[in-house]
Amino acid sequence: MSTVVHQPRLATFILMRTTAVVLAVLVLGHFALTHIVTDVSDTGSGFVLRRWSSGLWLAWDWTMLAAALTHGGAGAWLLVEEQARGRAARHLKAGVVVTVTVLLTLGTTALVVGVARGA
Amino acid sequence: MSALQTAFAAALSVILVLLTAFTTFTVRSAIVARDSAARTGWISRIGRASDRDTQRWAFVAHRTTGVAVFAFLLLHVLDVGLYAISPSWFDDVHTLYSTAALRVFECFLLYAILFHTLNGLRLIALDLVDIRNATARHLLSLCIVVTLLLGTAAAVVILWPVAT
Repeated sequence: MSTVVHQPRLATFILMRTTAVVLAVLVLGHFALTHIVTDVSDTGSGFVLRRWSSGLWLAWDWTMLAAALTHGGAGAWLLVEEQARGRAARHLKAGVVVTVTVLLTLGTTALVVGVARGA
Repeated sequence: MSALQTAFAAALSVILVLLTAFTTFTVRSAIVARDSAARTGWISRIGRASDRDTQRWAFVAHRTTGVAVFAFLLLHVLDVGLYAISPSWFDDVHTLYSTAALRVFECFLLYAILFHTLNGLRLIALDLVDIRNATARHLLSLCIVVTLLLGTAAAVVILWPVAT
């Protein structure tokens, strides 16, 4: 096997671990804020509007969005690599990339529109 | 229920059904792998059987919780994405999150997130530092205990409004 085969795997491996550490803080913090500190019934659009008027929370949410989709997407990619072969694997991998890209775009759009609403 | 709420509930139901199927598949694969390893015999000379079993079940738990959280993430980005279109559409779907059924779901989601996070940090530690097998197993037990303690404490807070 050549290094061409192994380099993307190493990249995925490093990507998984760096995003993991970031997510450990951001996701648990997000869950605690929206379910423990605040009851989930008080986290409607008013809560979102207030939250996204702060630069810190915008940075928090966008980093969390990007890291979570990258981490989950890389995980799904590895799962496909392990369980599927040939054409099916190629299609599933394309599906993972498309899904992650579409959701990252949608999530980023929601944040931008949210900022515009608060302004 | 509004059309959007129905769509959300349907999507979540589909996710839960697929997740059950995936978990069954992963657990069955693990049992097959364990049985065939036991039958062939040669592999039993490498390391202790209990270590391999523990690692296999930790892998199964890590993978199934990972897929579960990722599946929910896909739906969650969609429902927050509704905010970009209309805050009232977002609120329409969001009220479901405070129903009793979704609160129970959120508790299980938190158990999954906690286990996946703690075990993930354990795996990173195993990569970076030389840790003995016995210690690695103790750390796994610690991950499970902390998951159950924090998850249950949070479950009380999350379910409190509908339980009282």
